[in-house]
Amino acid sequence: MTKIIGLLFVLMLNYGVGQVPSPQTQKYNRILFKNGSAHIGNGNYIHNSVLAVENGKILFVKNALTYQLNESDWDTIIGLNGQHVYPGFIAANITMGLTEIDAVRATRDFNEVGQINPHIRSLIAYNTDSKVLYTVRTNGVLVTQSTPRGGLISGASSVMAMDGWNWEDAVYKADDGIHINWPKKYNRSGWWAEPGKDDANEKYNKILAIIYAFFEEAKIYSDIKSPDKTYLKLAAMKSVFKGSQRVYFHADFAPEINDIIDFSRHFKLKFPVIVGGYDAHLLAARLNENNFSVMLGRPHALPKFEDDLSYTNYHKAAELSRLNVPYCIQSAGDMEVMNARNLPFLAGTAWAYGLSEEEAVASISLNVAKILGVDDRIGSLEAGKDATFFVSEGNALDMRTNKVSTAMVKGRFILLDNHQIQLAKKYAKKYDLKEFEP
Amino acid sequence: MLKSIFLGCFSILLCTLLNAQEIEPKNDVANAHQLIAFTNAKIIVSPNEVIERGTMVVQGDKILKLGLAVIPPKEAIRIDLKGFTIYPGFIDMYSAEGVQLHKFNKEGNSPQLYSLKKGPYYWNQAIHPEIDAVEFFDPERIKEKATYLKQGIGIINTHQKDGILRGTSVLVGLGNEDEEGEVIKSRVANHYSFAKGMSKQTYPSSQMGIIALIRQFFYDALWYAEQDGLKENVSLVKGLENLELPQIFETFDKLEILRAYKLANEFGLDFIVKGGGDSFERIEAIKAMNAKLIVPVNFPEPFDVTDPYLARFVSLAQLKEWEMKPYNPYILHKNKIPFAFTSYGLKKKEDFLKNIRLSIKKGLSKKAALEALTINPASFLGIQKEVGTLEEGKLANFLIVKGDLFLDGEIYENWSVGKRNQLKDIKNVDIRGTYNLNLNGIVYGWNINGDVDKLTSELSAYVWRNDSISGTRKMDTLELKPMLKLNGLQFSMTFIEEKGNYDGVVQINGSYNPSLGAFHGRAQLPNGDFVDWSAIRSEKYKEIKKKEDFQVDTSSVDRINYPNMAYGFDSLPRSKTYFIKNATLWTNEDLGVIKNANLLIQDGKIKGVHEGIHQIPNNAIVIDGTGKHVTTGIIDEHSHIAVSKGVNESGQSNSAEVSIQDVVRSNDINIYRQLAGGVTTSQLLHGSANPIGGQSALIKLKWGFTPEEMLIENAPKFIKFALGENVKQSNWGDHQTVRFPQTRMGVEQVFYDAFIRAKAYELEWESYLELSDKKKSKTRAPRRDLELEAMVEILNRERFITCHSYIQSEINMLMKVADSMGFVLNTFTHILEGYKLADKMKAHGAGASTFADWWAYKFEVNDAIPYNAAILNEMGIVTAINSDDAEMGRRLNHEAAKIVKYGGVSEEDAWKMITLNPAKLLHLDDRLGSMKEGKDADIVIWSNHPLSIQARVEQTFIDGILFYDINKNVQLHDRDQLERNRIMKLMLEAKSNGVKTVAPFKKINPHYHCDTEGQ
Repeated sequence: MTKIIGLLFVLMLNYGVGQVPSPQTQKYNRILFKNGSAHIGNGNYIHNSVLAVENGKILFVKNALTYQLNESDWDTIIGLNGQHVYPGFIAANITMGLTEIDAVRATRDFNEVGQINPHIRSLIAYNTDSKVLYTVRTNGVLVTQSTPRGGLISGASSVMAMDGWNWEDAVYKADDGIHINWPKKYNRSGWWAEPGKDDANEKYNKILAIIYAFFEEAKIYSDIKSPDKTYLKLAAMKSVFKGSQRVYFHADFAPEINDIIDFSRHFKLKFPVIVGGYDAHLLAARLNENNFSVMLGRPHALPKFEDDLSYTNYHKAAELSRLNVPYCIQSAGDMEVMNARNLPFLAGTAWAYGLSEEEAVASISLNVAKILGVDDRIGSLEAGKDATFFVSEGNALDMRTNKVSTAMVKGRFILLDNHQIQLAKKYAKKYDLKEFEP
Repeated sequence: MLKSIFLGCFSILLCTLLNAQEIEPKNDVANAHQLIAFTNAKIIVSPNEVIERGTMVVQGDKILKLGLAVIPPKEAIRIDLKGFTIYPGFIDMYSAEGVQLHKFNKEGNSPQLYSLKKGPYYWNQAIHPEIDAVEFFDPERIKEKATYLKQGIGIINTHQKDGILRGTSVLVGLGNEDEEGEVIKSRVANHYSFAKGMSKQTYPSSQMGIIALIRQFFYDALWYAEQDGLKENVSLVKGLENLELPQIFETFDKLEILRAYKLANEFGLDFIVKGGGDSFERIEAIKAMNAKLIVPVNFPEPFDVTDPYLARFVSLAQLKEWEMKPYNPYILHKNKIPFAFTSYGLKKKEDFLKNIRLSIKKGLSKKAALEALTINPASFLGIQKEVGTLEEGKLANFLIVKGDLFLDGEIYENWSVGKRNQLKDIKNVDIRGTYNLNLNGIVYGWNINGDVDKLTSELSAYVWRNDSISGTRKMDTLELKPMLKLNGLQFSMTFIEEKGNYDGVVQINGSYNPSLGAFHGRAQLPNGDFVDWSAIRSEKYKEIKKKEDFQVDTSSVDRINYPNMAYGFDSLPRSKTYFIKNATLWTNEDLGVIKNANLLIQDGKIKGVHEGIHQIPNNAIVIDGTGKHVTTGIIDEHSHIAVSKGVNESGQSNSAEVSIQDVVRSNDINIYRQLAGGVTTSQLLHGSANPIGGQSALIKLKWGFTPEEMLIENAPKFIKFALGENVKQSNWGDHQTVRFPQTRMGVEQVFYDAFIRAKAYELEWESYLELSDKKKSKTRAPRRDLELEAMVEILNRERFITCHSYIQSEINMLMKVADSMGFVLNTFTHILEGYKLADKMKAHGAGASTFADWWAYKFEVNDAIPYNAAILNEMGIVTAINSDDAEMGRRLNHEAAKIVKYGGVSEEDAWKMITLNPAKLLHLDDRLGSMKEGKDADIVIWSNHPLSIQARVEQTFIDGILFYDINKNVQLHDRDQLERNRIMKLMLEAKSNGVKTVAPFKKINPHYHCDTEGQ
């Protein structure tokens, strides 16, 4: 017998939570979400949709007006009543799961000793029980690219679901790419509280030579079919040269990006990505010619130059979109992990400053999935992809209306509870605030 | 007659002052005081008086006689200075040369809480007025002596460049190559700065701490002077004594100049301030201070802007600085601000004269330049009777110059207090001209030209050559460039001939006879033979007059923006009358949000709201508000933008005496950026590095105005307190473990201690002030303590606390402290666990100013929740949302909107959290925070619902002045691009003219948060 239920059902799942919500066991196989406004993630929008899930995958997304509903086809049907459906948003380039409290050293697991660390893998440090993680997915951010930091080559990131019993359960794509902190042509003198100035980095060419040399060595090593000895650092680079791993170049300014393009051409890299890319729009043509994508820095950031327009970062996504540079928005920066829950509003700001609404949705969903190489499984509400999506009572890109009422990761409903909601409830009860509903 | 008596007295005075060397027994028989008469010279007596052809007689180190018709004494040595000019020698009144620094070695890594200078001195190691530079002066340490002399400087005023109160300086004549410089006068001036220097003592760690310390020192010194029977304190005694001297204050920019004068005015002092060469940017304000300045000429070098991507690293402010700084002296002079030049701060002192000449090209008159090099420094230092002009009886401090010193003239001699420095030979014989040279029967044509001291020459002759092919002989011309040297009248020259008259080196030596214009001597030929040679001048050298390319260029002198950087205004905007019609008004009053409504602002105030508008003035500018939302300006209760050199005075647990009001930085671009986010008022808070922080500055973001103009008039007084990890230095590293307190337990006691001491302090003063005048004179007055005064204000509810807070236990504690001391804790800021004790806060009467959703960055914010504001609001606590961050400050509407999401607060209530509620917390709600007739016209026009993600600020008004306009913003940006381009063109021209350029670099201004430690 088919159950037709409302969203109350989902809320009931919240019952009996502990420290952090646990992954759910799936009760139903064929589920239909009807009458939702579907933001597909690829730029399309269906005002009144039906979204079908089977075996954890999206079966189809169709216009409800032309869809002939046969209730008995479904284990359960959930009426969304005009609420908005979005593909799970993807927080790229972030230390999610690798840190808990920034100021407490014991909880920081993202920065390994050493300069050249391609063998370091974030995957195995990913903490599925991070309290912070559960405050992020309640805003619709359901997937993350857990990324190590530090050194010249920080290591390999992995694309992780934000739900799972352990990292093996949560992983979407292990070791999706390695991250290079490209040296800066300008270095800051002084220290953080008393900065001097940004002055030409005399070591720039020297550091460049180190990166070139390592890549040369690694390339030769990767060409050897069965090497006599195993060198972890070199071995970790094999997939880069095979073309299955991305190379993420962290850089903002045009002079460095130009050098990165030369570097990528030299080593014939297949999936080069600029992370940051403050100046990417200045080099759009070159980036496009050389197959680059750009993971744009936080729009909610101050301009890097005093003379730039105050809201220059709000505009950059629209600029890259206009120039047809493959791009997405990411949110690395101060307090990035806890701040990841504001990713939808970063896209919202880009929407306010030039992107269309659906482009803004794409900038944190399908665009990200494409760059990370997981668009075959996530990033949009399209048939065959994982049921990793969420429902929001209103527009998810606006702070006032982003209210996630239900969400699925890999076809499993997830619990929309967290440490903060529990505390709010605890004290609302203490004060007998009856109206208050977190 | 009268005059000669006067002069007589004067000479006696001078002798006592100057002839200290007479006292010293000499290891020799007595030497006559050499008399030297300079005749036929043009004498620039002073900037106001020139003798076209006169005589000056010098004896020893002073000028004996000077005038048009002076007859030199018989015994005087005469130096004919025909064609030369005598200038008064230059005085550089700001120097640190030759004075040894007094160092203390701190051991270990722990912070140094107390002064290492043992003895009866002030408690702070950066305050040492007792240092007299004369005690530490060693002439051999004047490393730049030769350069000073080459630049025309003969006297310097030098001091120990360390610390805040640095002690007194010493006036020194530089001497010459053989003789060391000599002290002319000790204890010349009293020196101050805003730099802590070598002291490693923790306090003060910020500029506001330095300012507070100077204040406290003055009060201490004044108090000490009134007492007797107190323990000796050399610093306090000397500090007061030194006030009799000229007061010299070192600063580095225009804002610091204003800060120094603010201090000067508080204590009725007359400061001479060394600036940073950018006074022109705030010329009106500096003029209003009756400033006397010491002006460096360290003009920046142009940037190499050939690469557009690298040129971006240079801001418009830096470009303008390069273009404008050479105008600074001219602009100062135009504004009648007296100033003295200094070579201090120049990367290369060799550029001193060059840069002064540049400032003359940029409009400064030569007379003003000479004043700034002579009589101004002399009168600033009170030594105008001894130096500065060339007058009988004054020190023989002068320059012998060929040409116009301020154009392209050259200094031949610098007489530094009677000691001669010959930089060039004034007796150099001019051998230039055209000669016939006869060398062993062969006649050469010979030209000698070039500069007198840098001769060049050409030699030509005819040679017969055999043509081997045709068998004929042909005459050929030989052109040679010989090397030559003249030493006195002795001459030598070498040239090489190849297969000419000779084949090899020909070396010539001979003597010159100036009256004949002829040479004769001997030459050695390639074969070793010596032969005779002679030459006779056929034509005198004709100076080819260089085309005068000197042109005064003041074309850019008025290109000053307010502030002088990107987005600065061409001229300051003014308040106007605006009628905004048909908009959605968020009134924050009983009217609520009203649609299709009108708003009138006039004279900086809200004149009428919708139906309250009775008449629209004719001059009103009408703004169509259709589809737009209009609100009052956003008020950021917790901001750290626009602060200079340190937001934390972290040197002590209690720094109640410091104030952000002293260090507002009006040229922070974030002021403009926040206007673009609709912010009009900010509380600039002290940081959270100590339990009792410092006093706030409440400012309006009046971009372009001075710091003083930004401060809200008669603003309520606030002070920052702090709790938790920051004040106990939890995250400061392993060495910061000695400052009390290190636990929350200790923090409580810091508060009790401060308030209990404050109560006692108040009582002490009260009982003193109640005494009759007679008794007062017999009673020791209490010492003024600025720290305790601020605490007393809190107790008397004249100063309100904003307390940085996270954890409920300590928040509870502080409310208990307040209860027991009888005051109300005004605002808990951050207050991330406020929701855990909202009932207690309500009962106490505290307000809350919190983040929308920050957490997880420190251990103590692990229980922070985004529902906090909603719960507090629900509990009836005045709740605000703040930024504590320059970036988020411009999106506070986003942050307020989050409160709608987290906890379902109504939109109007959420909006009040960034407008009316912070106004209430700041006790400014009678003036700000809502649309009510008579309140300040701080108004923002939004493109959309202000809480919507789509909202953009279109216009921001403060006091009825339009400060930000979305369209004007783009125009300013376009203007700045053109301005950049214009200046970069000048830089590229300079580069192609061979001017040395520097690689682009980016100037960084720090962004502060609460826990930003240090300057």
